[in-house]
Amino acid sequence: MPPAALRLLPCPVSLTRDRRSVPLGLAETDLIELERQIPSMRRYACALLRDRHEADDLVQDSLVRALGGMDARRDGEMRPWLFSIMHNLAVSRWRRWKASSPVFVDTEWADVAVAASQEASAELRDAMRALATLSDDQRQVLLLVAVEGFEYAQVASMLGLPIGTVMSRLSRARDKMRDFMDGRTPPALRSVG
Amino acid sequence: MRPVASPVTEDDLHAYVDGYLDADGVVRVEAYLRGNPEAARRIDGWTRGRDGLRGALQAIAAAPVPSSLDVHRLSRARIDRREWSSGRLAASLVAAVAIGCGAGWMARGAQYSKGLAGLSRQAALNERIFGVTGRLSAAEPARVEQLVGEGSAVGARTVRAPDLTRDGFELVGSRIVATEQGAAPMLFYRDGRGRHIGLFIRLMIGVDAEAPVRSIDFDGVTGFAWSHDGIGYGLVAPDADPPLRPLAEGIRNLLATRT
Repeated sequence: MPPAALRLLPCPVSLTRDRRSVPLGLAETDLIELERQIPSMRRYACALLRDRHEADDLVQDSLVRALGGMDARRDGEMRPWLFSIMHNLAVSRWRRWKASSPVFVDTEWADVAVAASQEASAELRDAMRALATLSDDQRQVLLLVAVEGFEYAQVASMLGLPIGTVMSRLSRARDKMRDFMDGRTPPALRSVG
Repeated sequence: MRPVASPVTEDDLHAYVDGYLDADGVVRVEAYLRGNPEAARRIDGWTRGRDGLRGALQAIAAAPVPSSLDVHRLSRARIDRREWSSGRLAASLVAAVAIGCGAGWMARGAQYSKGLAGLSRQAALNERIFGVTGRLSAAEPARVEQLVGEGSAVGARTVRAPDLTRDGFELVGSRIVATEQGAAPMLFYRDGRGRHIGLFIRLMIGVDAEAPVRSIDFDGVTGFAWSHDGIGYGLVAPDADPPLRPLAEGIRNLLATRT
């Protein structure tokens, strides 16, 4: 049985119409922009949930939600809007997840992620292990800022937090990462920097 | 970015690491770091953490995007659903006026059974009825070439049973069951630990010829359903073991590359 967090997608059923017709109300440019964001959405979801399949499920849910809300979307950048959708879905997912299965952390995931990377090194593996030591709140903020490149104010509005809270979580996350990496990384490797 | 105040604040240190400071700010922070070795080590740690994360996660962003995340397909599925809702309503109203409420629900049921939701139900039902160990041995010997849709209006197609030996599963048997879309094989696989899974395959006629993966949860049976190129698949298992999601993705890619 898949974890409870695997969402049932609404069933796509059609009458016998031309399936290739241009989607009602959605501009091709919107779809292209949406498509452009998928790689980084996958990256964020994967780092957040630490499970590739769960991550792709979350991204799919977010895309479906985004497609549904595209008409009503206010002007502004699409990327922060998409990440807000993903954040909200991830939160409800965590709630169900934690209620249904106490153990979900895949200990191998960091190694798998790094092994796929060309420049796999002890430093990268250490960073992923360090990330795993953070709380969900800290991990979110750190990933959005340091990996996804959002500005602090954007992160605050995405997560619905005061900017002061974002900054203090960022400090704690970064210090915790540093402590872990320094505790584990041999000095010889660190000095290469 | 707000102007850098003196003395250097913690926010300035973050902004320095994240590249949000202007030239003056950078000069100011770097001067501060030269005079504060502990702060400098801290910033070095933050930077290494950031670079490590970016490097490690780069592979995920660079990986090919699976077709389940194809926005054009997801968008079409959404529109189809919207059209179907209004179509169903109209059909129900006409039927209700002409014949009575019951007919409206029957019309809805017929539509339901054609698409992926119907396939999910059929797959789960076949798993529940034929997947029990005792009845498995009564299944036909496994054939790799399977005929799908015999007796349907659009004719049969041949599908090769996917080879799952790499995942530890052997094809142990099959049953042909009747559907509105013609004869449909239900394949059974078993692994060394005695766990089994079922793969239901049938034609998709008119509805959901191409549909992304959705989960199946029906009457104690769980799994995943999807369709590609007019053929629908339902991968099901009776309990929590084995994890079906990776298997479903694997089979889907296997079958998609072959056609």
